[in-house]
Amino acid sequence: MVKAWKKRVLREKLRGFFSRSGPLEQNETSDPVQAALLGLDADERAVVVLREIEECSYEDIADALQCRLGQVKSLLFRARAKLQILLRPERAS
Amino acid sequence: MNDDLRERLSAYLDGSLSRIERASIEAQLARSQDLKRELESLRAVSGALKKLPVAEPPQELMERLDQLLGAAPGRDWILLPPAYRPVAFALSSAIVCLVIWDKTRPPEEVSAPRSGWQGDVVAVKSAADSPSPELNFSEAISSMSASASAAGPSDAAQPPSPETPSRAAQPALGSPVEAAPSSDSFSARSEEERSAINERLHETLELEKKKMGIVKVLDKSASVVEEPVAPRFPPPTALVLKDADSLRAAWTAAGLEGPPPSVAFPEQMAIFLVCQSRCGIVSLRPGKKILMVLYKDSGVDNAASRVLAVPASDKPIVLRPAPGSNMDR
Repeated sequence: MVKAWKKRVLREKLRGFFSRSGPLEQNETSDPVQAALLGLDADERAVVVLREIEECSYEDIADALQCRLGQVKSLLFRARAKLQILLRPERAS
Repeated sequence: MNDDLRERLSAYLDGSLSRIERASIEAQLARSQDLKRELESLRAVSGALKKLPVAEPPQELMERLDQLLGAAPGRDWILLPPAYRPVAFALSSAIVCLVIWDKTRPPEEVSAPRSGWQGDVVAVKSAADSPSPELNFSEAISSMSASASAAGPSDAAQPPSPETPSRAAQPALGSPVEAAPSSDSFSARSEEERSAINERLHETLELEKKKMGIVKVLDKSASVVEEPVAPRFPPPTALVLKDADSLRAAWTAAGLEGPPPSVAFPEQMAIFLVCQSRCGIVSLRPGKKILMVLYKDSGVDNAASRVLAVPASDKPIVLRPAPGSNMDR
């Protein structure tokens, strides 16, 4: 029962992820934030979306992506660092 | 600023640090402007991501996703995994069955009295305490008056019964019986008619008692306890009669012939066995706390064997089939 519930939650999260990031094939986008997201690796993007947009806890993200807590922490840090660079004001302009 | 510090700053932003780590980071933040700027930058990225517009995913993508996750679209209402469903089904079925059984079962029947059971007892009015000197059977009599007169000739062979009882000693019926307006018409009838009416009255009374589940009769001063007998014989009932009028009334109401046996009231009392089969009293065994009356199927309807004169006593009376009689269980 717990497993089914987790599956459901994950499906909802992924649904949200796709809702916000749009079709993966569509690389051309006018939104700089969306473009920056598409510049991340798949794992980094998943982690940052689950954390920032879906507001999942580290434990839930680790559970959903089947990885360790430390991995979630470092993936999130790497994704944020990349986004910082990709979203710098001078770059955006 | 090393990556380890930035990673911890990222976790600090999410509130995922332990208390000690958080205190350490906050101390460093208070000291370092660079670290503060880094934190603001991270907050800006976080804010920008939260402002992303919501887009509708293509339908085929969602369907693919549902297939991938093993759930058909639109089945969100199923919360129980398949392994739990038989259990839930069995439980709900059991509850439904219980409710149906509870609604449909017949009301509990009045069971035969167990040995020593002191359940419902009905007081026998003794003649001295009877508020009305009239017969209390007026309802039954009036309802039967037409059929009784028609049956009169067939009962002509019967000898005339003794004088009409003026007082009754019978178990009080559940519903109050009204005063007797037709007692005059009753006494105006011929002896044969009265005898026939009495017989029918007795049958009606027995039927009523059966319907009402009355299995015991209790005198004001003496109680009667019955023993259950084999189902092929209805359990007999004992009336405890403490004066001559009551005995005469019971004798006549039971449709018995001739005068009742003589009992020396009030030193003695009469035990009158009322039964549908031909049973008679065999003997009396006086005990310390009870009077045990043994009865058996006498084969012939010997009226005298249904009445027993015993010394007046307040002890409860227990009816028991005589050993060896075919009424014995």
